[in-house]
Amino acid sequence: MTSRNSFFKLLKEDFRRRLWVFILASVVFFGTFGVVFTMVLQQWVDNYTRQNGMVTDSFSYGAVYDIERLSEVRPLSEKVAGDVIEFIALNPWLVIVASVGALICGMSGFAFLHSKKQVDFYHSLPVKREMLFAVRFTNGVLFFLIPYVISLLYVFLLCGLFDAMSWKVLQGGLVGLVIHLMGFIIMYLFTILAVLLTGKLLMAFLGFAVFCFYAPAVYLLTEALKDVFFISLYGGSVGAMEDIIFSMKYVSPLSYYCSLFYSVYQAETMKTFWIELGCFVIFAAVLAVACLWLYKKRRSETSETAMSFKVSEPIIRILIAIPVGVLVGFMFFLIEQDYGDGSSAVLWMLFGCVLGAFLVHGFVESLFRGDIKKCLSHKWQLLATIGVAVVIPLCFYLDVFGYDSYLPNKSQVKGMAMYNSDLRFGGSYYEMKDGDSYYVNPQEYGLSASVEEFDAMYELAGILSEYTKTTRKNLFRFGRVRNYQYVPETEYGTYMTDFSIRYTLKNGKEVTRTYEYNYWAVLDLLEQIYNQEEYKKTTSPMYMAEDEGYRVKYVDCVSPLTEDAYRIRVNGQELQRIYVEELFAMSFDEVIQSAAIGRLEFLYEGDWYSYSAILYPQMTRTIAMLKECGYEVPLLTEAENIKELHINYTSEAIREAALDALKEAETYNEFAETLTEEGGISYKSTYEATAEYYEKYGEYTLRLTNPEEIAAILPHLMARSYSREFGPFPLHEENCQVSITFAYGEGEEQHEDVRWFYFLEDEIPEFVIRKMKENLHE
Amino acid sequence: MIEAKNVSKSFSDILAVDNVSVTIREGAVFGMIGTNGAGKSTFLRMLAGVLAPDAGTITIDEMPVFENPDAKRKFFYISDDQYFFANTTPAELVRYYGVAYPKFDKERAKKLLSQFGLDEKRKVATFSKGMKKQLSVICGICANTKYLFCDETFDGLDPVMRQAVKSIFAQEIAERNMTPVIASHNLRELEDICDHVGLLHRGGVLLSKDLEDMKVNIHKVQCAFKADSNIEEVLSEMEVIKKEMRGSLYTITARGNSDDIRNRIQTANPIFMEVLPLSLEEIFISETEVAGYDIKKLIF
Repeated sequence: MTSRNSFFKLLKEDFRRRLWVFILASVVFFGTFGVVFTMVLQQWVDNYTRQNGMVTDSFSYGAVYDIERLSEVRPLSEKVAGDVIEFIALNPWLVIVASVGALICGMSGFAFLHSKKQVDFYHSLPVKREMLFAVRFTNGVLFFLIPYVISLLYVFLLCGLFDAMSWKVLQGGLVGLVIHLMGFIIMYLFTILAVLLTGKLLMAFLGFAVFCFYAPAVYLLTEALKDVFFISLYGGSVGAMEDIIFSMKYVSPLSYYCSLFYSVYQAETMKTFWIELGCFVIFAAVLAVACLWLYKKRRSETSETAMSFKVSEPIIRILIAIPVGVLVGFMFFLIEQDYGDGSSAVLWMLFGCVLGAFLVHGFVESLFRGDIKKCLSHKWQLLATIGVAVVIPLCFYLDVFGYDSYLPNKSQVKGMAMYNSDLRFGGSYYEMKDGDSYYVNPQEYGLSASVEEFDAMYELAGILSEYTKTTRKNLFRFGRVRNYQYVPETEYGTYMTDFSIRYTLKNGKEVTRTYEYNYWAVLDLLEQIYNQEEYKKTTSPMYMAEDEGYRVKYVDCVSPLTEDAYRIRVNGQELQRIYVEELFAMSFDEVIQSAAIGRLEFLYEGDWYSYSAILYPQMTRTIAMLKECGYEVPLLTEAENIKELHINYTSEAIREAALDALKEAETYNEFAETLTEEGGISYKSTYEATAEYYEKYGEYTLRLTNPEEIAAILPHLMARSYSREFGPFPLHEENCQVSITFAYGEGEEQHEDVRWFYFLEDEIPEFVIRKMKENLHE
Repeated sequence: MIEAKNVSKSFSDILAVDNVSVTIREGAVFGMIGTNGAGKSTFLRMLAGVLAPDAGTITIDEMPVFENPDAKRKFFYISDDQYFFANTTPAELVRYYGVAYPKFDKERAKKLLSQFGLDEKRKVATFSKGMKKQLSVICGICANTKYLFCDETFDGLDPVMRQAVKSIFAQEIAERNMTPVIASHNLRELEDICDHVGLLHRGGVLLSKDLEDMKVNIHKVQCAFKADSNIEEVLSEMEVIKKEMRGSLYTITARGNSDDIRNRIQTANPIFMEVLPLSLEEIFISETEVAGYDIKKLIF
């Protein structure tokens, strides 16, 4: 009998033996693609048919008033393609099916190695181990692939019957098949590896769990340690889950599969996909060969023992005990910080490390030996493990490697980038890749914009780094934990915000840190940075769009007076070009002291991406061009339907007036007694007591209805919704908010709309201040 | 021919097989005797290519066994606790073996199953221990291999089945020169089937000899003497292994040539004399005493 002949005969016999796996897989796929898909496809077809295939664009911020109304008719297959692809390919359920399926196929195929009886049987047969391996491995893949392919064919057939079939669906289904097959194979190979390395089914399951979760757990633990002990940690910018998934892509089979799935879900380009597939095939082949080699090396007598290869025991024991010890110590530290006074947090941490490492080391040892009395078999290894478990968190606590104090030598730096949410341009950021658009987090966008003229940034980094160093000294020390260091006050007060700095070094390395500091204390440096041409060009998505020649399709114009969006169709790039010119012409001072009068959303060819841009009153050419295109920017100062104006303020806004009012009180003592009874703050100074009293009880509202008074106030207001989101943080009176009630319609059809504003810094009119003070006494 | 040269095998700190050298000729039934933990199963598993020896070599017809399908096609291994697929039937098992062993005789298997009263469509999981052993033996016979390794196969068979199996073995040996290698701790079980025996103890081979060779040098004679016989004097000049007396009836086991023993006893003028067949146990006792072991402490 030839080898090939034997192979197929043995394959058939093994298939018969493990028929239940195939039946199980078929039931799952039939249930998913057969039953559920049939039901939902019918529903989609009904829904889209009811819409007569009409598509209207919608805008998420309110009603859309198309200047030129547009409607498109698309065929059903195009409409439903997205939903079908989402179901048959981008379905997280398939990740679960493939992962669990891989576990079942791997265990059922190779668990015979854990039974002495079965090993005696199979290894005494005139069949080489390579053949046995090949037969079982192949069947495992077929058990997953055959039902999947048949189900997919059924889906295509059904879509065809409902006129929902298209090239896109075919492509999506096949890409999904490849992705999930890749995921299945990687999980499958690691399951086989776990079985080969162990001699008992329980150990194999634990081994598989270690493969899947150990490295991600260690990674997350490291990130958690960094998050707690490193003040200047840059936590990534993509989004917590996405960041975690992509950072851990290659550390475990499960994280690889999830990141693969997620990247397809995020519609990465096909070019990347083929490279990924090629690399995967090579890796899978190497891993399969490694499994076969291990199988040939594996001694038959290791069945029913804990581990097949004794040399792996100390490695596994130590590698598990150390992070668990660190975790237990870390948890003790956090508990003491949260529920205790924090003074003995470090001692608890050290204790926890010792306890955790000791217990886990002993537990794993007894698992290997099958006897709890043997838990202390390797005392020196245990001591070394405990030692490492203690040292690791201490290194974080003491910042032994200088993470927080990092500041490279200026001569080593090639370029720098700085991101601060109160200094950025625009709201949404997108970038084009091979004809498709992808959302980009603003922070990452800003940090990718490295400038070579970085003197101001470097000086800023120096201040931030120094502040962080001294803060750290107070925060992390043995003994009582102190408060944060006092932050210098400025004339504008204190506003703590995050600054992310990225250094691009001459050796190609990139280092990023995030610091918290008082925005107002470094306003001069921020001004220098903002006013740099290079900075504007690299961080402004509008400039990038203009430079790259993105074709503007529409512009949605939003006014702070109504928040409705008016869409105008734009011919050519003129509007964008003029806007960018006028934006760059404005200085930092102008921007932070100007009241924005609107927001523009530039929508580009290709759909689904846009840039937000703030409209300032200085942008006269832009405003004129908008008018030419059919949109007249409504100005607050020209509003005619203002019913009334409310100024809501705290005594902080007029602190001195409040203090004066206090002093003018008939008897100070009477006021002090009141304070004592109501505020319970008799031990504080008069000033502090007053401030706290008025903060607690001193929220006032001034109502104005006089049109002249209102008209005098309007030029000094800026929209609250534009205060932080879309540009440099403008200077405004924080403790004083203005609400304007606009009235629309008449009689029974009248309705009101309230919009919120701030006073620009130092621009509260005198008469308003006087009225606010008078209002205090009422 | 199966040759094991200086074969050793350890499991952690336990030396299961210690420098064993054995030659198993074709066409002879080789019996491996030993107590529990002597290393019989371990040695047999090495012969079957399941375990790799730590030292030494094992060849079957001059081919190394381990991971060698060509060598493995020459034998069929019946483990002491044979594995059967879950929910399988004898028919399915026969089909599977037919794939693994190219010369497997499915028709004969069917016939033997019927002869032994085993329903080929019945689930093997419902068989008794003895029935499973029978099934294993049938599969082993029908594999038509040159060698058949049996690890305590007769244990669990009733006397009738044991005899039936022995007769089949005898038939196979006669017809196609099959060579069974049978490991057991029960001397009586192998009594009438083995041609060559090896005694294993604590991983080592105490002795390995043809039964006939052993029988040539040891004989049991039952005889009776008159009261005035000088038999004691005669016996003192012989190499007597064992002497039992019941009145005037003597049962003497002595080492030496058959004719020589007869002639010597004859000189004591026995009333009658008869040479009796020796049991395997009796032969072993004598041989192990030579090796310095008390057999009674080794086997029951």
